[in-house]
Amino acid sequence: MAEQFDHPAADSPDAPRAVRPWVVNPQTGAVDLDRQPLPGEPEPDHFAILGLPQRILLDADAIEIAHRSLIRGLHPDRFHAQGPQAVAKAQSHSSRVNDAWRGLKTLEQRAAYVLTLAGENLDERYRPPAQLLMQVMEANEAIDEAGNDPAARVQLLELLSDFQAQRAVLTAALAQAAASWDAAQAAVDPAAALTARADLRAVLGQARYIDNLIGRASAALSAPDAAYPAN
Amino acid sequence: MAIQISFGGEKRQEKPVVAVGIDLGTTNSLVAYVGPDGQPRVIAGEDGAMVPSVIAFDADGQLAAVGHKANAALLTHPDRTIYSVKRMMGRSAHEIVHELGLLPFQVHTAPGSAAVRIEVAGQKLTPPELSAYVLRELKRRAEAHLGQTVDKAVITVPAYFNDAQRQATKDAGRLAGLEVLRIVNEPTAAALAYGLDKKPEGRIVVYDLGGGTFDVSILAMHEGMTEVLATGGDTHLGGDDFDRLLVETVAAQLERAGMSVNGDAEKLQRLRKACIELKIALSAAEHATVQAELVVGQRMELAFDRSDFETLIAPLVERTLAPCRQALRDSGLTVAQLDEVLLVGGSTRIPLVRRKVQELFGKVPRGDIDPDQVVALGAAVQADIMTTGRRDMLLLDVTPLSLGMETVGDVVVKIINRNSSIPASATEEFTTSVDNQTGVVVHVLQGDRELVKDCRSLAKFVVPIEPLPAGLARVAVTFLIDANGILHVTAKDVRTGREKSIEVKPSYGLTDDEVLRMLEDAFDNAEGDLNNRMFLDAKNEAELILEATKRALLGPAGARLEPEEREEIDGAIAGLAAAVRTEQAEPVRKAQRRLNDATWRLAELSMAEALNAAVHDPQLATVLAQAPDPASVKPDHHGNRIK
Repeated sequence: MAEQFDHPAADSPDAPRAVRPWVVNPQTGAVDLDRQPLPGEPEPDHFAILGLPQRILLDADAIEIAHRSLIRGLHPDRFHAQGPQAVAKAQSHSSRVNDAWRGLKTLEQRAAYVLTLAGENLDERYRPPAQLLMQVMEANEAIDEAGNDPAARVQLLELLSDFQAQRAVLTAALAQAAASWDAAQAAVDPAAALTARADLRAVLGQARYIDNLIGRASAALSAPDAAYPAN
Repeated sequence: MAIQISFGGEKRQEKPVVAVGIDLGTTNSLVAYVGPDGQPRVIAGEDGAMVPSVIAFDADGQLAAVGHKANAALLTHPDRTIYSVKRMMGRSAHEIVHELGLLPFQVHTAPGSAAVRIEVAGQKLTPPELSAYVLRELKRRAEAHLGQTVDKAVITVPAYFNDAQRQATKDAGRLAGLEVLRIVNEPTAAALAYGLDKKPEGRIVVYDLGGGTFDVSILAMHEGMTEVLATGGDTHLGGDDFDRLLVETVAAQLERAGMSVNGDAEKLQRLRKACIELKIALSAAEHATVQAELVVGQRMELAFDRSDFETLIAPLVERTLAPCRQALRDSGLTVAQLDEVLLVGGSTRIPLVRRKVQELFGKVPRGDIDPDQVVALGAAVQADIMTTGRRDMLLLDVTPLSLGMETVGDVVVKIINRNSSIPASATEEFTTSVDNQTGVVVHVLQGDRELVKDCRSLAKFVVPIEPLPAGLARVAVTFLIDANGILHVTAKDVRTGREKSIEVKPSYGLTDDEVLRMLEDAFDNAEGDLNNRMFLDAKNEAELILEATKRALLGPAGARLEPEEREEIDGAIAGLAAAVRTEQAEPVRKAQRRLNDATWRLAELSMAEALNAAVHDPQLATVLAQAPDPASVKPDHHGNRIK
């Protein structure tokens, strides 16, 4: 395990919690899933379930190792001999471990998740700047035409490479914002955390928007039957 | 105890319970088990390891045959013989009618039931009931081979099977008297069997083209853990489709030559059989010729070129490549990061398929696995993992399709994405929009498309809510996909923390009550099963007793018997051996009692011998000093002495 679960840091500058309340298994550093939270008590978050520190910048291998070592012991296949109740419990526990792992796999996911824990609503629509909006309109047109117009394909390819370049800039910006957030949390610095939070939010919004565009453009370019409208 | 050592031989060994692995295929099925040496083996019958997934009924609607014999009945009684049941599992009546096309079966639906029934030989049976016939045959085969009852199994399904198809398979297992330990995806099972042998560390892709379904899975294997990264497929594409194309092409040629087969079920079946032979021959040769007998007594020759066959099936083979590319994208890997390509399923013997797979993944596929057996072997390994605890291996699979919920505008909102590791869960909170509303209707769907009409309806249910002012009541509904890929739904009142019960009715297939009722009905017919089980128990016991008696006869006690006593024992031995051959429990029990009576004095003499020996063996003497009165360990009249 990369680190023990010993972060007393606040989860959110708005509603700081001195200590996370979950009971932790000293061997895995992960939260004790057998314990039912009391009414009103928050459910353990994904980081706690995997026994990881609540940070955006985490080593991908550390996440894999944490998941693997927990799931080995919790998977329902291991409990078959102990009867249906044990299997049901294992099912519930292992699904939570899998859910946590699935939710923390990428840096974007972790950034979005810490923002959600901090009370952000990420479902609000992102409004792109005017220049990007122009490109989006061009792209939409090219996507529609890509199937039967070679010129549109060329244009779409150019737009795609431009979007990919913008995405690379955003990836770097996201890593930077993530580092500031993690540092602010570790230092229990609410002012720095607020700035980092705004940065994260902006970068994440743009990144999602561009990802969507890249996905649609690539699909239009690679689909062999792009000339036919999808049904 | 000493007396028992001298007479009864070793203590009776309770045979460990064996759980089997079953590959329930569209065209062929297999059963495998893991022996004491840890190696998985396929159980072969007199007619080979593969059991055709074909069921034949007689004119009265009674089961006539399963497997090879039923396959033969396809030609003589196509109207009472049913095959490709797997394609009907968990499907709607509309889909089945659409899919069966040429087959002469009526499909029925009954009001108040989401289950589809197929009419065959005057009976209306659901696909799980039909599959249960095949499973029972495999169970019988395993029991005959292992000499013990088998009631636990791991059954494989195509990775791309949806919830309803998995549930239908599980129901079939229950109806066949099997506890289904786990539903495992076929490509995953193949990887498990392969991994057991080769212990690969790395990423492998399994391309599985069977009789009726296509799957592709990308897996990572490390330290005994087999983790599925992504899967994709088409449950409507396989070797059967190649057969159909070939049949259609040849039928059109025959039509032009003035020999119509249209509308004639028997001729069509004979043609289909010849075309399958042709297809198989074309995997080995550039040009193939087969003899066909569409009308008895009229032989004819059918010839085909491989290149023409390849042109015919190329679009279908091409269709398998899109799911491969999608799975690769979903896994986040590139072709260069893959270490091995495994081919599974009989249709991967077709050279064109091999070429296309090699082209796509840029690697020569492994040739050292048997594409027909590897899935059953893997299922047996998983059964062994789950029942013996002797292997530190774990299978971590994924759900092939996204799970979603209907929302306004007939749109599906995703709650668990495809390729999520299972078990997986998601919790959604529901509240009310008007005062005193008592429930919210939830429609669960599976699929990756945006609109309700393009996804597969799994179930609809009502979340009960206490009548309160709008927005005040809150109910959390948890959707859990278990390790079998089957959905479970639970609900909890958020304010009180109390569990709420909800009744989930499947959109397709049997409800739990329907399965229970079928099991109860089957119980009336279960005499045969029970007899078989009792016979196996009696046979085991008889074999142990026979062996022990023969050994005692060879010893000094045997030599001291009177000739007529010896004669009586020999007669009883022969009687018991004959009784075992009747395969009936009662005669075996009877013959066993006779042998018990006949060996009364032999047992006494053996005990005396043992006591005599003990006098000369100080170690044994102390043991005997603690032994009960020899009379109390005399054989009783139920043959239970060596338990």
